[in-house]
Amino acid sequence: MKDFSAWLSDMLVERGMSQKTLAQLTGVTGAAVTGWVNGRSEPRYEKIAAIAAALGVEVEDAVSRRTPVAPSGDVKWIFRVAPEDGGREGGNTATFAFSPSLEVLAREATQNSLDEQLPGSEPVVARHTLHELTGHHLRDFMDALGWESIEEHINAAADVRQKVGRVLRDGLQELERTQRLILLRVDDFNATGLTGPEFDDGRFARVVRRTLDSGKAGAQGGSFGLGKAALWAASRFGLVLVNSTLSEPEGGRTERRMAGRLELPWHTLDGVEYAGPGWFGTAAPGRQNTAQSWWGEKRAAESLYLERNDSAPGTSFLVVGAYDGSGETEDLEDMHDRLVKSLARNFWASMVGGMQEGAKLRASVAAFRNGEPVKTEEVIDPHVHEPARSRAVQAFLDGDTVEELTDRNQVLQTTVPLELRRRKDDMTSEDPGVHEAVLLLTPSGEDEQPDCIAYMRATRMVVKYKRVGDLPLGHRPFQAVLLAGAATRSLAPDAVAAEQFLRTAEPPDHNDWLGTEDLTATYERGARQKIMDFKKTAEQKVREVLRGQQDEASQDEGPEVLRDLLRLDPPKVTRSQGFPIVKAIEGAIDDTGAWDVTVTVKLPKRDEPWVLAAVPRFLTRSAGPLSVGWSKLFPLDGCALTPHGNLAFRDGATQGKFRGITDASSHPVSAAMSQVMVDVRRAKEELS
Amino acid sequence: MRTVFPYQVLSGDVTLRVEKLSVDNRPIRLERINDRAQVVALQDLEETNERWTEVRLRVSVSADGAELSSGPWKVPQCVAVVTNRRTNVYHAFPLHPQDEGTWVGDVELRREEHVGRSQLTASIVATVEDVEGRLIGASDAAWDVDFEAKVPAPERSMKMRWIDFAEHDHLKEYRDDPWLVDSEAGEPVLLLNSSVDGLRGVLENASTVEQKLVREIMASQVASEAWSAMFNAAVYACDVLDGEPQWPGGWHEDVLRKMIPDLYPDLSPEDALIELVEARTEGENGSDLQRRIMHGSGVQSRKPRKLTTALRDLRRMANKREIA
Repeated sequence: MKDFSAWLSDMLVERGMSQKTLAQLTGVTGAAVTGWVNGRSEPRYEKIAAIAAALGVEVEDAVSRRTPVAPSGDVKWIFRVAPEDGGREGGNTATFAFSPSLEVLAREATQNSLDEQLPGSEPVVARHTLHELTGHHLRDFMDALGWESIEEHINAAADVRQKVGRVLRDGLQELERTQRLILLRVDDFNATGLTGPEFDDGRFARVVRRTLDSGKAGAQGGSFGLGKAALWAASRFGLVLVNSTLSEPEGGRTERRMAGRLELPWHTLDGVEYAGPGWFGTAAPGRQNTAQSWWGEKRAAESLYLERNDSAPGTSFLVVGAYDGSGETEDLEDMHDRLVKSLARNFWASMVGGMQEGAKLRASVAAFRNGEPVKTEEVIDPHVHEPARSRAVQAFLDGDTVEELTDRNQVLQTTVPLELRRRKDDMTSEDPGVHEAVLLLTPSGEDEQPDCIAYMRATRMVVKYKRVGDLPLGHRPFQAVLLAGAATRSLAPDAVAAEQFLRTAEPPDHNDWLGTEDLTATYERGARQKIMDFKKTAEQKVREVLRGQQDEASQDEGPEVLRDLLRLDPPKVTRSQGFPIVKAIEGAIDDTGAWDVTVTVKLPKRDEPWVLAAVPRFLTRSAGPLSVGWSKLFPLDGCALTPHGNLAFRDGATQGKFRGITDASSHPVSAAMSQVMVDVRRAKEELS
Repeated sequence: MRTVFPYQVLSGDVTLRVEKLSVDNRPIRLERINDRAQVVALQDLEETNERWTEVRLRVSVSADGAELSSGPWKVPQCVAVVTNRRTNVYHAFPLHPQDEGTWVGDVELRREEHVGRSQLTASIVATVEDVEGRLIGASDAAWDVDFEAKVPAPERSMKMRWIDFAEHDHLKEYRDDPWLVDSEAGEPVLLLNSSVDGLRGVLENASTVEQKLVREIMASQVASEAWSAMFNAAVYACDVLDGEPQWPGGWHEDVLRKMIPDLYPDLSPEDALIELVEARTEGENGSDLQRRIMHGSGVQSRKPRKLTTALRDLRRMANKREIA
């Protein structure tokens, strides 16, 4: 806890109150106040209450020496004035690294949440909530947001000659035209929250103040600090609000640390040049023209759609004017489905839990229109979206894998070696040796995309899906998962080293393992090759597993050259037929117990007319079909009856139709117990 | 086959799948099951001994559950049916209902009841209009349970065996023949005479251009003769019932169906069968049929192409020699 003296002096600066005024308000001498401020003495409890009243804060704030809650009236937008050197920035560079689709947003934001998981705690809960606002819901929100004071800035920055400007202009016009705004709330729980001081290094400062700095280390996914930029990029206005519950108190508080940041390019307004970005907060005492985060009231958080419905630590981001930058959808339901799809596709493995290790993530998506649920909260079940792959990871986490597959639901486990390299800054150490990554393989169902390997490490986010080529013919479709580094559940040095090695091999989008510049700069020669070898070996391993005993089996079945010429299996492609066939038959049994059927015949084209004998036949189980007779035969379409009771089809006709009624006396069994077909044979009848 | 039932049947697909396999209670690798080709290969199982007694297949059947529950059918049940042509076995195994429209169960094959290949199908029966046990749906294509294949490949070739004709009494009189087709034991086998010096070497390990040329011509020749022999045997296997020729089933039918489109390109298979059997029984001098068989065997053994290629290679070799 802070010293009382430190708290008091901060509060006096914050309130712009002199020691003398405080002495008057609390009824003590100036010397007494000086003593409190210098830390020479501490006030008694009654005086503490008086001090709290004088400063306009709660008694509890003074007792616990915590930062008071800021009233909503104190919160405002403050924009950074352009630097004296006249330098201009065309918007936050980090946001350009992305194509700001919702898929990317969900992947990046969730990856960040996984990285901030509280050690040893429950799985991270990632909730995504879409709100569509119109009418008074929209007006109320805009009021709480202070839209009036930022609209003119956005307008001024919406210079259509720049990419960012066009997006802003588009956003303003869209809002004007539709009077509708979409908010996307991204919450995480059981994560660290935005801890740390306002301006120095810490999670808060990295997310809200800085652009390309993640400060991440070790097994975490994002090492480029781009993830948070995806949030800003998903807003038409570059506008994101934050509410965080901290895992470690800051200023004596943990709940409702709130802030906002608007990411605009350089602009001028009323003759003043602005650098671009603006912050939503209270004026920072002692700093000119700077906003700081504030500790908010419940009501204020609610009016900004930022109130968290759980006290677990973590952060809520509110993307104001959320849109899918790919331009493929504007629809709320569609956006919901896209988020679900992206989360399932990238994080199914993180969401799987087993007996030996639990899930790392629980993700859900919900959508509301003016507070009314449109899609109720859907907790994503990895087993529904990726059944085969999830089964593989679950079997691994249950310790329930096999060496040979004898059942479709089994999961085969084997290893893939990754040769490690030494770090350049640690060349004196021993050869780091070989890491044994885990390869899982399981038969897949009717998946859209079979025969793929999914690469992953610590967080079990899918780094990449790779289709395995060059597979044995007629192999069983499968899904494979390659768990490397910490994902192997090994705590051995090789797993730790592999985790770092692979992380360094990931490009900014974390979507592959490659010879990145970072990799060649960090590791001794050959690192790139080892990464390539690793991926190649994984694919090779899959092929070996699938080939199994197939290779040796095809021996001693005669010379290959003859096998090929003596194939007994029926030809796959049925050639275009040179004879008439029955295309369709329908019918029923009539009152007399005879079959009354209508038959459509398909005819190949030829010059002379087809003359066909139609033969009704009853199917049998034990032998071929038995022929029966007609009592009546009626040509219906494209054909005529010949003197011999055959059907003559019109010249050049490709189709014909007739109706026939069987002769019940010729039936071997009652028609009700039969199954009937009609053969069309070439008639032995010449037409004159 | 397009047929009409006197009552409503399922229009949706009925899918039969072999889920897993065990022999004498020992689970067998999934590689022995080929879903796409619908084949289970059971020869020379590593996991078990030669004298196994029982194969158990776990099978599942799925139909359109929604259609099934909305139709006029009562008490739908599902059976898996195993048949073997050689032993004339016909066994039905009732399966257990799981969810709506799916059934699961075990099919047991006793060793002494199955030879060669057995067929596995599934039928769904129900009470329709108060008649019990009516067929309302069946799996589209049968699964083959092949006791004489190691790999569940969709392709099947005629059996071949290298033997020394001189060492077998019944082949002694043919000891100088390089190959023969023997279909005495029910299924045709191409016997290759291993005592013919160099035959095996050329057919299996041709290395020089000349050897390869001979191999291709010879293979085409062997295959052509084999197809003719099989086709003739198949024609004689056709019974005539009430004046109508019947498909013979088994490999005979496979051979007929495979070759008939080349023998009678403008006849439907049924018409062609009538024509064939007539030619056999009445068959003036048989020359028309023999000509057609020769043509069909040539197509199967790719004789025209193999010959043209060989002649072209021969010319090239001659040219080369001249230049040298």
